[in-house]
Amino acid sequence: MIRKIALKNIGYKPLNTVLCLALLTFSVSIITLIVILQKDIEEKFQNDLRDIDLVMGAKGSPLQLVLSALYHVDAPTGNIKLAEAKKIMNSPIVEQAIPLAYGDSYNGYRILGTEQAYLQKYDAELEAGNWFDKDMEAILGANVAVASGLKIGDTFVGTHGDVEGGHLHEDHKYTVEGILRSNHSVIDNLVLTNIPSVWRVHSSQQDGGSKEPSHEEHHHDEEHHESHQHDHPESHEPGHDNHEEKIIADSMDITAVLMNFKTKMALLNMPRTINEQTSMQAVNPGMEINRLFSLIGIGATTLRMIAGGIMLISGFSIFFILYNRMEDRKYELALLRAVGYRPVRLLYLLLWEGIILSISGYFLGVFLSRAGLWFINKKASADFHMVFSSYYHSSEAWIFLLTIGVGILATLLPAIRAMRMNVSRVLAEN
Amino acid sequence: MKSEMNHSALRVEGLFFAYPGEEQLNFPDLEVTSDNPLLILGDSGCGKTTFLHLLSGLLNPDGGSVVLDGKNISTLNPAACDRFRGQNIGMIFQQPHFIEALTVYENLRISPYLSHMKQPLSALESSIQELNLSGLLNKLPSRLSSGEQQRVSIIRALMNRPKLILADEPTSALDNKNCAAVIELLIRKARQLNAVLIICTHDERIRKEVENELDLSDMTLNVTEKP
Repeated sequence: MIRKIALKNIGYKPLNTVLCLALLTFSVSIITLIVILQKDIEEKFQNDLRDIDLVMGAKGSPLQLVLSALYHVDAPTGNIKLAEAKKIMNSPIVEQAIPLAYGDSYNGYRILGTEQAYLQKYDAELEAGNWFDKDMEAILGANVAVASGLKIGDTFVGTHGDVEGGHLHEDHKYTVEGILRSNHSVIDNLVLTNIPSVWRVHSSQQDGGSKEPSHEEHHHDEEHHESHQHDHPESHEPGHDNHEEKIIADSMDITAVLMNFKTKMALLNMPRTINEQTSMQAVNPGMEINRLFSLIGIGATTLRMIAGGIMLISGFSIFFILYNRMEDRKYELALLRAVGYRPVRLLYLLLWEGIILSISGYFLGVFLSRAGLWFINKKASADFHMVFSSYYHSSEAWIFLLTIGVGILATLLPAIRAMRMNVSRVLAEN
Repeated sequence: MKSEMNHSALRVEGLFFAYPGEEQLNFPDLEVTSDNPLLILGDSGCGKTTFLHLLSGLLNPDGGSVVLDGKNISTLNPAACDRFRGQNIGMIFQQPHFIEALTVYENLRISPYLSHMKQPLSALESSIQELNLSGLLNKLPSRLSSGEQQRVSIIRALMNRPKLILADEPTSALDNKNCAAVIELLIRKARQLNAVLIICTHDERIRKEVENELDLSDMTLNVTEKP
């Protein structure tokens, strides 16, 4: 009966109830969204890190290099000479070095020239078809395959740059050779091919003749790199297009190299060597990402505090509403005592009202957060190729406890007042 | 007056009570049985409501005893007292109080001791049926007229089949027609349920309906001769 009265009471003053519920719902949904987004982003970034010790690329913003070479969400800092990179890559302390060449995209998905080792690093498995082994063969990440609808054997052309609607490399068609199984890593959103394919697409525009390996090796010339503002492995200078299949690899540009070292010592020394003695920069991606997270963390903490503030206000509003109604309700509380309810039952009655409100607010909030997540996913999947999971996170349990706690705390004082009420005096007031 | 067999009886002995900082109120000894309702009269402020609250256990006396059917209410601990009141006493107030959010029917069933009862009260069935026919059962109490509200609160006070019915100025807010209906209902149902009925009032309209009177102002116990 007490629970029924509590429930009916909440429905009896709908405006009060709506205000309390709205405040609770908003605070719960904001906190929930922040927790989910932060957790998902951090997990995704950590997952794609794959223990890579060092990212080497053109000088520029270290964070930009990491975001572009590891996560493919930013433009590259520029290009580096393969010959120069090779000197580092072939060093005996390097355990593994995976070169990357990119700059083109297909339907907004990046085309990445790399080696088989990259696919192994990300545990790629084929859903259909074969690995690429010849030039101009490509395999599609799972999301790319779904979004583009391309099948094995289909051909497509890349777009210059990362955005759709750029210049099309129409005379160089890629053939889909394989499609990858989704493994929720960055490769889901990539078109993968070998590095010579990337060179080939751009060599038609390249002033190839001016480059000669030995010449490059001696030079480390800065002026070439500084001019490379565009996200493109090759220079834009118009050149002869009907060249032979003779590409002198060492004279070519790549975009970045992902490296692992044999010893921790090398990891400490190598970045300095590269940064000081070459035209390239080396970045420890783990450190950059931690720095990024600590920056995001400031924003997330602020939002959390705002949401906490809203929750505090909703707690106060529950408190004020219940406390104000005590004057109106004292006769019905006295009546309950007169018909035999013990004082502690009145305490339960009011606590129940707070608990029902906070539980409803919590579930409405979780529901609203999922609606928000759905909306964010619609936008984020188009802009960042990122999909957040809307499954129930275990960390949402403490939000539940927090909400119930707020409900109970807000109700406690009116409830104690109800419990200690002098029934005889109230009934004599007539 | 000695109580007969199967008649409920209330016995009060040496009862006194003082509000903090106020003069002590002494109440007369008396014994009331279910075949003879008692009217308590007196100027306002002479302690009528206090007396009723002492009889119901809502107030604890400073001394003396209240015994209902052999059970001394004054010596019960608070929890037992609440339970005893819930099971054995029905209370009616000057202003009928309700749980506003509940319908009339739900208000009739708020007593926590109804589920322990074996069957619906046959004595009340006709009254509830009557409310139902007038379409009142599913209304909120605030939609009822004051006469209807007082009738509902009387029926609610009887739902737990009380041995003692305490009514505090039940008719003072009612017009003559409703007053007569309410007092008739109260006396008739108390008799059917075999319950001791005590009514506090200064309503002259009731006096001709009840023989026994206790005037708390001068502590006299009278049995008026009915015409």
